[in-house]
Amino acid sequence: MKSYLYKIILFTVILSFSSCEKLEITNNERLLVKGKIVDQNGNALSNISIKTEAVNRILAKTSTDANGNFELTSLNASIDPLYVLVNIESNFYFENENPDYASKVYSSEDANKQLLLDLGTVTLSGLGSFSLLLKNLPGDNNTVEYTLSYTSKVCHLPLEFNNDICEFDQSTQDFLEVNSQNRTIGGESILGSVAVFEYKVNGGSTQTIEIPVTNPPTTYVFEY
Amino acid sequence: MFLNIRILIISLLFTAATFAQQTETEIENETAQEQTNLGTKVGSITVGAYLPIAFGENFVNDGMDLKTGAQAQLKLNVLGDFYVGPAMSFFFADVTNRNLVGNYDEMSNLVLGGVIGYEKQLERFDLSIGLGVGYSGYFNKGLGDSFEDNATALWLRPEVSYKLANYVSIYVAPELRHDFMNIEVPSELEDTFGGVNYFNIGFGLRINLGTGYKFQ
Repeated sequence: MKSYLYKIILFTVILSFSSCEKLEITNNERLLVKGKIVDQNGNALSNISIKTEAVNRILAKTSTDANGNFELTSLNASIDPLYVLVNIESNFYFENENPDYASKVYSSEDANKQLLLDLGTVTLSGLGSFSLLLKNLPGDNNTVEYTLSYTSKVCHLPLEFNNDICEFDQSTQDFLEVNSQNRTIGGESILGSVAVFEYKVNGGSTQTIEIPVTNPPTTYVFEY
Repeated sequence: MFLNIRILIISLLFTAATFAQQTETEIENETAQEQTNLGTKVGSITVGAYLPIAFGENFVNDGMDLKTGAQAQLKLNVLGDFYVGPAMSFFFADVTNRNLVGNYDEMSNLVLGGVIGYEKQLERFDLSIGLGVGYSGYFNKGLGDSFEDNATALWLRPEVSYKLANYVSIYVAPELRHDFMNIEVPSELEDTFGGVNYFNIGFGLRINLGTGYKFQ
């Protein structure tokens, strides 16, 4: 009963937030969004969803055909940025519609002024994960300062440039004391990419370890 | 030689006889018309239903389900059988192919314009043909917002009306209309959004203004 009540409250809060901002659709304008979706091996991916969105409202949606091609006519937002969502439920929820592949979100910086949005060939890699066990060895009185960087399963790209390369957009930093407990860090990322673990032991020089993202995940151990 | 002259004389006589017969027929017609057209013809008002039918490759025909609307027109006779006047029409539509037109729900179209035309009375019938031009607004609703597409409409509208009483007629008017759309699109979508063709059908009541429409 309590959880049901929480859901109603959460839904009301989300609804009130999402309806605060009004969508202004541009008069006398239609956009054409087109492209092709392939996997990391260059194979066409069918039935991948493509949407355009502004102010959390779907302006147009379609799916790729058997050859991975898509083409959709979209409305345009006159004030707010435009998003093109590839294999993602919504810019609000960030859930991959096809859970086997990564997602991409293209966004305009301001209101979109282009009538033709040709995304070209969009590569959707599979998903994998990685984990790293940070093991504090008894007797070694070391401290470690680290930064872990990797690409999330939802890749954010600018709409204005024809760029299909996902940068590191996830980062975690921490400082491990002499008496810190063992811990495991990791995450879900793009299959075949690497997570970068940069660390300094006792304030020394920065060392780097590249952790491959695999499926199933491989657990690495870092001892200090 | 004599044969040629005879042929010429016979031809002239035949032509004269035909011309005389034609003149007599015209005089008879004019007299008949004068009898039925006593008084002045100011013009007419038509009000009726409007059945929109889009055709060809365009976003309205391929992406919308058109509903019945209404039309009204005022004809004012300015020069003999020639008339001018304002005209309006509207209809509604539901979006059926959102992939093609965009993700919205419904559209209502309103045309406001002017017409110039020619009308001829034939006993109980009035036959006319008019050429109209005007503003065509496509008022769209969906996603919690409303937005507009617009166009310049050009139409050709023959009309046949039949007098039920002296000042009241019923009419039917097919209409060929083209909307030159003002929607900005990339070149790939020009065929779909550049223009819309309609073959519309209007029918309804007509009020005849002036005693010249009185049928005797």
